[in-house]
Amino acid sequence: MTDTDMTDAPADPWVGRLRGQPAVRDAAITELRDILIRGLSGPMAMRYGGGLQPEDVVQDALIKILDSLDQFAGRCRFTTWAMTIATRIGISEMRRKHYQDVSIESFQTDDNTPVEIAVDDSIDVAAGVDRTAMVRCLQSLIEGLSPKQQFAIRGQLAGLPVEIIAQKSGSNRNSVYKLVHDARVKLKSGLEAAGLSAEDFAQTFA
Amino acid sequence: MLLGMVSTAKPDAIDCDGCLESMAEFVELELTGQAIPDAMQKVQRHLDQCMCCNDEHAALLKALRSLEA
Repeated sequence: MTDTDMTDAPADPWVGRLRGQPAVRDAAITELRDILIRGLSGPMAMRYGGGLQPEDVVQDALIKILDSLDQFAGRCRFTTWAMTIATRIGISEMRRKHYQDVSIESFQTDDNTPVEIAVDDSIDVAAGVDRTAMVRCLQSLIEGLSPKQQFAIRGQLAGLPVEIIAQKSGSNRNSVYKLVHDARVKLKSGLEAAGLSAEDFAQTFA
Repeated sequence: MLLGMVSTAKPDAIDCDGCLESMAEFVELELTGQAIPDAMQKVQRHLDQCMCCNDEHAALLKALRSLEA
């Protein structure tokens, strides 16, 4: 083996095969496809009604994996890395299909309808707790959120995953996740600043 | 549900893509029973806050365990 060969030698046999000559590459792709299908079959059968088969998403996963080989840093087994990508793609596609007929119009924010705070009046309130004041405090904090944050919170309360809210609103998953998370932290801090523990609040209201 | 979302809110240093970048390494530590180092605790914190990533993490664990069986 020459110095050049040693320098260029791939760190992982899978990467080397997937970048190899056509026959080697094709055999590696076939083997990887079988591994991904076998791994995904269980998790995909148990989610969102099992409306998709692993075979439906593995091709997209393989394309993404092959396009991302440079990003494989070798800190884990190649098949773990590949399965991570395939799982994300598979579950995302199942979510998209499951919620494809759900509209986001019902929780758009242009009508200024307040975010609903679920209250169970049948729960006894501890002595000295002013339930009405607590609701007013939380409602005030919600009104202090940005319209986009209120929109995202409404979507979550409607049962939509952040990924679906993002898809249907033309945004992206990271942005919607951050919107929701920042809103949750802001509401919690606001309650605490008002002398109300969010945990106590949650116990007072169902 | 809203109150549950508020009461469980905790700081989270990464987003979903950041979680995905470290997910494979994280699950291998879990599968081999190794302690999660401080540098990887950010993944656990994100999983505690993000239902989408949490679900994908559970699916990934199941997929990898099925291959080992």
